[in-house]
Amino acid sequence: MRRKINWGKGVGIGGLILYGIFILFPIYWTFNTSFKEIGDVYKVPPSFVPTRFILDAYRFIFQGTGRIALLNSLVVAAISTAIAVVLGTMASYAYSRYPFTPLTNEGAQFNLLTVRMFPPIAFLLPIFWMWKRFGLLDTYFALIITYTAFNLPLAVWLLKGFMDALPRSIEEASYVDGYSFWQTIRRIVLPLIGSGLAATVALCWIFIWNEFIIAYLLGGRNVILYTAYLPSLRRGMRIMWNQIAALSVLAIIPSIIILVLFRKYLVKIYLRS
Amino acid sequence: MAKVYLENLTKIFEGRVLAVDRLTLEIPDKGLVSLLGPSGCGKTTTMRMIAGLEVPTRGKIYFDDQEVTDLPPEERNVAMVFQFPVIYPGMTVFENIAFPLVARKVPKKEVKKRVEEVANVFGIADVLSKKAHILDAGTRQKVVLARTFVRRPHVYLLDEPLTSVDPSTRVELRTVLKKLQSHLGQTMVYVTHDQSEALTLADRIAVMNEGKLLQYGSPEEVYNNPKNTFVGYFIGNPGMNFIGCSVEEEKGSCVLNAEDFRVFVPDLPNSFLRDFVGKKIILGIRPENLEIHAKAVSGAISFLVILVEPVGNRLVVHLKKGEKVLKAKIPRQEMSLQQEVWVRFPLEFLKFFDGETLETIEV
Repeated sequence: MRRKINWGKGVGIGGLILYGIFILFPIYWTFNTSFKEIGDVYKVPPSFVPTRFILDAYRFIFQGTGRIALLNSLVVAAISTAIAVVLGTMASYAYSRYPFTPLTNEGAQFNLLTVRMFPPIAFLLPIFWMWKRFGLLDTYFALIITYTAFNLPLAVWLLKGFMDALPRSIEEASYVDGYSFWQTIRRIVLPLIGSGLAATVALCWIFIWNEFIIAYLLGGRNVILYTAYLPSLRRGMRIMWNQIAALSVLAIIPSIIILVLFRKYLVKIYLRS
Repeated sequence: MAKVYLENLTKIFEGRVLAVDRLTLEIPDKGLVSLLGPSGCGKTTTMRMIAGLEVPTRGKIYFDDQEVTDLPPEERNVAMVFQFPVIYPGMTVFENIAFPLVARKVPKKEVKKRVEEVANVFGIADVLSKKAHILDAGTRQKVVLARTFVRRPHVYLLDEPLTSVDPSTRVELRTVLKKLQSHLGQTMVYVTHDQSEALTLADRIAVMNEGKLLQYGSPEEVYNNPKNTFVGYFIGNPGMNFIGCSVEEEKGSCVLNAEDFRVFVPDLPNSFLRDFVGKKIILGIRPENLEIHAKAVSGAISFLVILVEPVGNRLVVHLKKGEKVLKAKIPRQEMSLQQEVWVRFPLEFLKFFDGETLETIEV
């Protein structure tokens, strides 16, 4: 019995290894490329393992606009995510607890979703003209508000599921036990939807962090996000692959941190939907 | 500790559903009052209004002489047990029980002492460090009760606290509650649909139906002198027998004609029944008050046994004559189906209700 080879399991593991290579190789290749000189990038055949760690590309990113673009992205993503999650928490509580007012009934809840049904580009032109008319194009404000507008419905929708799963009687018990509404929210509701909050933070963050079109259209000169900065990394006709790779490696870091921290909760939210 | 006074309390949900209808009720200080009634009779809504979780549509609530109608629950100083045990998930049993004390900023040492005290009363001292949400339903309800009795509010509100636990725990907890109440001497409102629970626990019972208070009195009073047929039917196991009769006069004494049989009421002061001569009344008698004889005796009416239910050391016997079916509760004995028995209606136990209003007729 012990000798018997479990073929199904073997094939499964083999498949996973192949899949892993397929997923991880581009990341590895980016990493590899970021340590090369631009001349080596175009060499055929390429070197699969970095022989020398040349930090020129990183130095370029850190000294120039790249650093500013990364910081801009961090600022915009952090503020916008924070706003979306805070407003989303409050709104989802209202949607969950008072589903009969004109602002929170079924129709209103459906309207929330419609924002997400259209591709962002469908809204972008009017949004572009709106900010232009306000003279707010290329500002933190415009970018943060626009991202928040796209993320808020998502946040509300995700958090509402968690709020719905929370029995009303738990809050009532807390009131009777002597806690006010806000104390109850802080001590009972928020801890209990903690995993939902974590997942929502992660998803909102990732949407902004990976987003290109809005960053490109609404920002670009004064406020340049790293996604909008990436395509400008070339010299004449030559694409500076090593610099792009270096910026990408740096850009992956926050996403990895978030994914690792919130992995448990993200799985939960995907399982739920 | 406080007296609770409800004045003309009315609750209408969404402008349509009348849940509680002009309820006026005084719950005496240190009293244990049971709100008794079938599901949907408004007893839970009444409770929630006392707790402050529902805002009355009309009417007022007083604790002693202070009006609390507009106070939010956290400022009323009440403790409430919900029908389904509400524990705070993620907290340990200790944290759960200590939660209301923490709200009142009780010093840590004191909290520990009081939590351990109350945990001993409910026999959950050994699970204090466990997470509360992994416990079974019975233990959870004990945690909830402990959290309620860890402090001394104006009034304890218990909303069917024993329905979600298994029968053996229920009996155990009922005893604990009764002891606690007499020991603490605190005002307590106990909502239940189980009349036997109300009869064993309460000092006074408020019977409700369709949002209205039907009768308010001691268990004996409610049991012996139901104000109307609903109370008579709802209290007792099984409930009171009702027989529709018309009142006739025969040779100077009153006869209740139930068509299938007739009951003579010779000794009763005739005055009150005479007013009803020619009218419909309802005769009520408790199953345990019917006399059953195996042989014919004078004044007894013959019935057929159609069903026998053993209940502990007693039998509930269903008896039939013509269209009429009666239940009798008698000591356990040999009783076979289709057997003929003789039933006597002892006069002292007869209750009379108006055939139209279903209200009791005062003798």
